[in-house]
Amino acid sequence: MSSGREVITLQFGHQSNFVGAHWWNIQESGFIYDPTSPPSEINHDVLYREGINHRNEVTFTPRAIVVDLHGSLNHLKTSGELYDDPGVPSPETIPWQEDKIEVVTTDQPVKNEFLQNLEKEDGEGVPENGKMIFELDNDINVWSDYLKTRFHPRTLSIVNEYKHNDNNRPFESYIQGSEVWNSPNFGEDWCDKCRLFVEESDNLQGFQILMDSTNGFSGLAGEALQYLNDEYNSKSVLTFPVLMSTSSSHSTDEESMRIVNLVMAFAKSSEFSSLVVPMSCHNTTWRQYGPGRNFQHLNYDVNFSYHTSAILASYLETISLYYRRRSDAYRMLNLCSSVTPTGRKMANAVLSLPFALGENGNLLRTLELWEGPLWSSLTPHCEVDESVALQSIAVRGIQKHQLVPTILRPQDQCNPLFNHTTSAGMLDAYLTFSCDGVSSQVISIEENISTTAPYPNIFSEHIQRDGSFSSNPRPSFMAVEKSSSIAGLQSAKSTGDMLSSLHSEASRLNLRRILKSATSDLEVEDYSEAKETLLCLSECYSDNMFI
Amino acid sequence: MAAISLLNPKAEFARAAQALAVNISAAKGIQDVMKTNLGPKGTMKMLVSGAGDIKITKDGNVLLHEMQIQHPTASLIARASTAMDDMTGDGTTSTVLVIGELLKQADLLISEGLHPRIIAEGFNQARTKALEVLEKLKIECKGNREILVDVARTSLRTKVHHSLADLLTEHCVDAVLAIQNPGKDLDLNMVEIMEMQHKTATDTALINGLVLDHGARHPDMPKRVTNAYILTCNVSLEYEKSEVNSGFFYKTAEEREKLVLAERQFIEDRVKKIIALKKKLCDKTDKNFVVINQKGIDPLSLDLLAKEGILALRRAKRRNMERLTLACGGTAMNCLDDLSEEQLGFSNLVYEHVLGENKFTFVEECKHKHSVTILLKGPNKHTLTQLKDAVRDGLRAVKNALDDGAVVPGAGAFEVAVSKELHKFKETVKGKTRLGVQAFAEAMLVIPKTLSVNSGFDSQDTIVKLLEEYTSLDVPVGLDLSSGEILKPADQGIYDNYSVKKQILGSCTVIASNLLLVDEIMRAGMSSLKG
Repeated sequence: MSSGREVITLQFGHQSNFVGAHWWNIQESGFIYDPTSPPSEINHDVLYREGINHRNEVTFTPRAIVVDLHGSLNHLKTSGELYDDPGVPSPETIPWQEDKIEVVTTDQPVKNEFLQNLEKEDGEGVPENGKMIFELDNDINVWSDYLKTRFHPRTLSIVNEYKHNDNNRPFESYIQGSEVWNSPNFGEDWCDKCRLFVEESDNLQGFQILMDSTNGFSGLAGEALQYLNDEYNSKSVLTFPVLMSTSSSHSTDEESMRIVNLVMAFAKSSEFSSLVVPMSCHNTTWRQYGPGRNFQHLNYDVNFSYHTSAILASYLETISLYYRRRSDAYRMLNLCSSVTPTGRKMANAVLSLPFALGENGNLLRTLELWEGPLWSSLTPHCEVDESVALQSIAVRGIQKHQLVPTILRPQDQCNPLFNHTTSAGMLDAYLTFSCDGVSSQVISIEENISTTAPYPNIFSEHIQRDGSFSSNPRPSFMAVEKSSSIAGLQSAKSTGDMLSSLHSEASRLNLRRILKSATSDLEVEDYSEAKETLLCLSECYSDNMFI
Repeated sequence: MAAISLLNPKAEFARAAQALAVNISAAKGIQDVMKTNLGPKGTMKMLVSGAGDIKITKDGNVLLHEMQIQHPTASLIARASTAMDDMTGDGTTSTVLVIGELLKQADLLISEGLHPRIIAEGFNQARTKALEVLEKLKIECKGNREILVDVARTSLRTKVHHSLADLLTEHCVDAVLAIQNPGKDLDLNMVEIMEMQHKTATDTALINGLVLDHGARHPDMPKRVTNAYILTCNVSLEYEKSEVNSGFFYKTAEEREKLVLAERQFIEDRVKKIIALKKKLCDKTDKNFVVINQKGIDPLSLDLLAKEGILALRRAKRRNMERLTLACGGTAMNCLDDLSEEQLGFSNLVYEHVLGENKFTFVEECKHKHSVTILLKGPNKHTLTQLKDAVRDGLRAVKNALDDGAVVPGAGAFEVAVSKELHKFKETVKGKTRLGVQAFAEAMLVIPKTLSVNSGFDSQDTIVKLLEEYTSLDVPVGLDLSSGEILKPADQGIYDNYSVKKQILGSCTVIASNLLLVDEIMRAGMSSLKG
């Protein structure tokens, strides 16, 4: 049934779930249903599980636990739709005196155009929504508004103590998170869900974690990481702290609170994970959120989670190829250890999306003509620079016939890039020449990232339907359906600089002042210990010499 | 103008009488919501969320958790009441009702000019007296199963339909008695509560032994074994690639292969130790062997074990390690060296039950019976949730009764007695404080009043009858909810927990007094600046 390379996905918090929802959608749009076509290069059994519901239907659902606050799900049912009987039982069926039953119903949320369409198709059973364009930008409030994937009943885990978007009692501090974890209901329930996913895996690779790192979920995730470390210490843990701005204005105290949470989240995650990769579309994220990262062919709104999370999800979809390819036995463990030499537990994320080949349509010429860095950084406070020591790169979407031009020039034969038969090989050779002294590893697959709806329409007009670049604009009734991409992990000096800048930001805080305004108190000692951890970690990056 | 508005012009505030009015109206509001739920004739609420999530309950605790309470005073009361539930497992609705009623009574006095401080003082004296009454009324129940059943039934009948309540009552009492170990604290965690979405609620059963929520992961493993040795262990039987690719440990591909083989061998040796023990103990007998491991077992190890006819389960719950040894005997092993028979548990029957993709393994007819499982069954999720909440409360009621060594007559009898005794006590109190005592005495009657209203009787009638009977008979009398007549709770077996009543008296008085003494409410935090 399963391949024995299972990975369990753990999502903590609303921002992380925004990313997660896009990621599951992208994967699901990439499924190949046609039995005659060759099997996908991606082994979907790694992240998905096969199951059977009580109506004896086979299900294929993410092996994931998704944590969010009460009231954040909108139309989504906690137990999922696949395993539960639909419909509300009539009050007469309840074993109780009939006149003593009171039914309290909350209004059904209005479904947006995309969800209505999804529902309609469900009835007719045609998986055909790739052709449609949706203008969803005004309709997305929560991540379930565009979630296509169906969840297993064990997947959703709801924190009932706090409400989503509750200004009276916001879930805003690390300590609140760890209190929720230790409350009688939540922690144990979560651990049980996790245990059942582990139990059914034959040979678990590890856990991939998406965590909000600026609100109460940081505490929740911190405690969960500690639990994973206790209970499954031989498994890899790959953590992606997600940083997204939610509203434009923050008070100084809220900003300070965020710094405290960040420090705790970074310290805990680096202590208990094999590898930590902070992700954000902003270039700075400490006190103020800076402007968005620049992607040549993307027009996106950096303050809109629906857009930014799609970019982050595309990154994940590409970099995770390392442990999801069908063809080899490369594991999460190998990826983590390849970029974490001498205690460098944190790495930078870099992404090129779409990695559109020029009008010539081949990789060789595109690389020859490329100017500037190949990719943009997705890790805040880290720029793409020369300080990289190690990198692991994944490329997808370059077909074999797109490697070299059909009409060759005589000098092409002498080009050291020429003799490669895969995009990985060619890019590897390119990187050896362009980035001196960087040790790189590159993998590739030919499959593109699927960007059909509900992926936001963020591509510039020069990107065609199939993800290629052309100087003629794409017709407006057409959406980009797929895209190529390059994603990478880099261990660079700039990671250390980011950590020390967070440390100095944190040292400037007057902890007592913040704690007075917060509802619960954080142990001062824990906090200074966490700051110390960050400082030690940043020192690992000071010199590239020994790597 | 309040001083705060000089400092912060945007601050919202309410002073003195206005502040009190805010608090009292909040307390009344939450009381109104909860009132209809009290007692076995209260309303059942079905909550349907926009997404279609269903919750059916009449448990005050569950309802308070589900409700989106905005008002700060109301949420204070709600949190105090749910904290009460966390400690004793019952009495949430009563707490809310009594707090509301205390404030209502106080409101009458305050409007006549009495200072809140004096009322609070009266409440305090009344509470001390009420606790004395509680001591007098309590009925010793040292290990009397009858009374334990009664107290659990009284609690459960307020949560689920009475036919189901009676069934669960038996299970709860038997479960607690099974795990009871003289000289040790009662640990309710040793009662496993397992849910199975299957059949109907009335199929819920008490299993003498354990039900695990996972099964064997190998098709050739036996589905049912008898006379089985149980090895409980926490040892990894899973080959895990270590970080051999970092290059320090080997130079050539062959060396790497060797390293991998050696590591694989290491795991296999562990499996072989188990097999050796199994061969020694079980071969040529009718005995069988079961391994329950907290760590993982990979397919290769499973295969080796299956060939020997050993049933092996991986990734057992951490807590089940303890439960298993309590149920079957033996010890949980952290190391497989020097295994011997004494370290093994024994069970007469181990079998698997498959429900869709979920597997359950029953370990029954064990050597010891110090850990049991209540197996909840129900056709759907919300029934199971409702059952689970009820069973937890039932178990807690039995535990409380055992811990207290005493119970209190229910059906409103306790409250009537307290009220009456307080009226007598009032005469001995000097000054205006006695008005506070009187208010407390009146407030206690909210419980029998609400019970009677919820059952469709006239509350005035009931109260008069109850008070009269109590005076003439001089024994605690309660209300018969089906006839509206007077009954003696002891005859009908209606008992409440001593500790619950004690908690109610304590926390209600404190919270009501605190709310009374509030003379200014202000709201000037960060959140109000934002809006």
